[in-house]
Amino acid sequence: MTDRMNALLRTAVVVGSVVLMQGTSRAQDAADPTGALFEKQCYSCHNIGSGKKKGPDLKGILQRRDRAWLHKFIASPKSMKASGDKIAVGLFREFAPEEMPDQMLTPLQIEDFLNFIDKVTKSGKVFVPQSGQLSRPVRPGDIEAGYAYFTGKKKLAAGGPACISCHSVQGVTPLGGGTLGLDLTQANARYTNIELASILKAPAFPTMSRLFANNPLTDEEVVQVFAYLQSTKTRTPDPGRSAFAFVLIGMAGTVACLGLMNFRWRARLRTGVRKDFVAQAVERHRKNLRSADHSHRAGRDA
Amino acid sequence: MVFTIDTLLFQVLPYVPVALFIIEAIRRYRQRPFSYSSLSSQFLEGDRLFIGSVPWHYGILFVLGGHLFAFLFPRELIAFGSVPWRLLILEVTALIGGLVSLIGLVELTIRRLTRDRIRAVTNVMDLVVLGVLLTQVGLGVYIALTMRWGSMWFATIMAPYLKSVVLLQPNVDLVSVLPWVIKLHIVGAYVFLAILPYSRLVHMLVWPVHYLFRRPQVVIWNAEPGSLRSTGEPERGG
Repeated sequence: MTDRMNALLRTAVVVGSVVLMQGTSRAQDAADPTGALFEKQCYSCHNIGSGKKKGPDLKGILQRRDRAWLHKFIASPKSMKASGDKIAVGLFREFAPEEMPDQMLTPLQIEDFLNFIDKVTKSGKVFVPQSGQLSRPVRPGDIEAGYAYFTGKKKLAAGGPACISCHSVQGVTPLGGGTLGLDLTQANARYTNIELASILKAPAFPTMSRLFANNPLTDEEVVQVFAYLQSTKTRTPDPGRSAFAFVLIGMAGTVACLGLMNFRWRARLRTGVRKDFVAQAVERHRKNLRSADHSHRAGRDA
Repeated sequence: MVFTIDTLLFQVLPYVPVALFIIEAIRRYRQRPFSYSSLSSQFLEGDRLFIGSVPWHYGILFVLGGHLFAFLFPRELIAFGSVPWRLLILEVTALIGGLVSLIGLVELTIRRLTRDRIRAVTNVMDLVVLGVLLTQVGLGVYIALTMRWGSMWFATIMAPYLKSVVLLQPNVDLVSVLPWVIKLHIVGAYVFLAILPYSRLVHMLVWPVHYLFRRPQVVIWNAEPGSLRSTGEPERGG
């Protein structure tokens, strides 16, 4: 293994351990039944204490907004916006094009959520989802195994699709990876380690949540893919180069194909088809005549 | 169930062209069997036909075959593409197929619009067919270039969706999250299926397999073409 690989592995091991420790020390957040519900229904768009996501960070929300207003807004954000409520309209504008959907929550559930957010805020901690905890520290060999899962060389146990179908990581193949989804090079720059582990374990994105709903990654797979993505943190994404190479190879192949067709079937449809057929028919006719003449002579001699 | 535009396009729409296709294809074959033809224009113009027709047909057969294979054998395709160099060969080959068919189709379109003899035998449906095909193949190439790797996500997302449509339990969830370009390509495929029985594309349904095995037939005029023209009367019974 090269020095570079060793360095990457050390980084991945350290980060993995940190994620593991963070997760263990704060597991009580998500272990709370309301915390589990928060993770399922709110965490894809909201953090508590870790910054903005698709929606605002909810840390200290009760200190910023009136409790009655929050009840009304959470129950039906769209109605609040439609009514012209200034704060609601401002929030929709700030986080456009994301739109918080109306929630099918009872007033009691909303009250539980608000109390839970208040509890986390007052504890001075951040919300850590259960899915954000790695089951074990990263070990040597995890990066390689993660690469195999990423490319599909090694099948995911539950049958989920390989990451490369939609995602790229700089250098994953000579022409890069999939571009339907995000380029995951430096994925950890975009997401915190906990969020990344959480995404791998329980993706909250519309496409991924559907694809992995019935076939999530195992804990072991999460650790290994996490390790691989961590190891790519130092690479610089260059999607334009792989796209250009792909187009160039495609165009060269197309020119070669067209040239081959024109050469191989240069006589077809243009000229000579009829001439060939007539020549073949005449030859066949002559052959038949010769054959008939030969038979006739043979009969006469006999 | 919430009824959205996606519900209409991917849950209801698929069955309209299928019904049209089956009913109209049978009706046309029973009522006008000799209209099952591509209405070849080779006698009117041959040179540019060759340049366009050969790449178009080989390209589109390859690409459509690829779509069909990915639909029927998604697991096998994913297994094949699980090794990077095999995936790249698969994708580059598919892109070449798309580009070759697109170039052929553009050539055929230019020929149909610019050659007087061909324009004289062109009807509105021919132009509709060309428009739909150009849109479909153009979108396909664009998707292959910008939303890689199509073979893999087709096998992952589209194959289960199409299977759900065939099993009469369309799963709109799978396609509703896809980019609008891909959605347009899917809708284009349904439109293509709907216009197929009304156009010269019906020739796709009848394969002249016996041509491969029969002996060549050479048509020979026994009379001088000039003498036929001079009478002003078409020869009967001959």
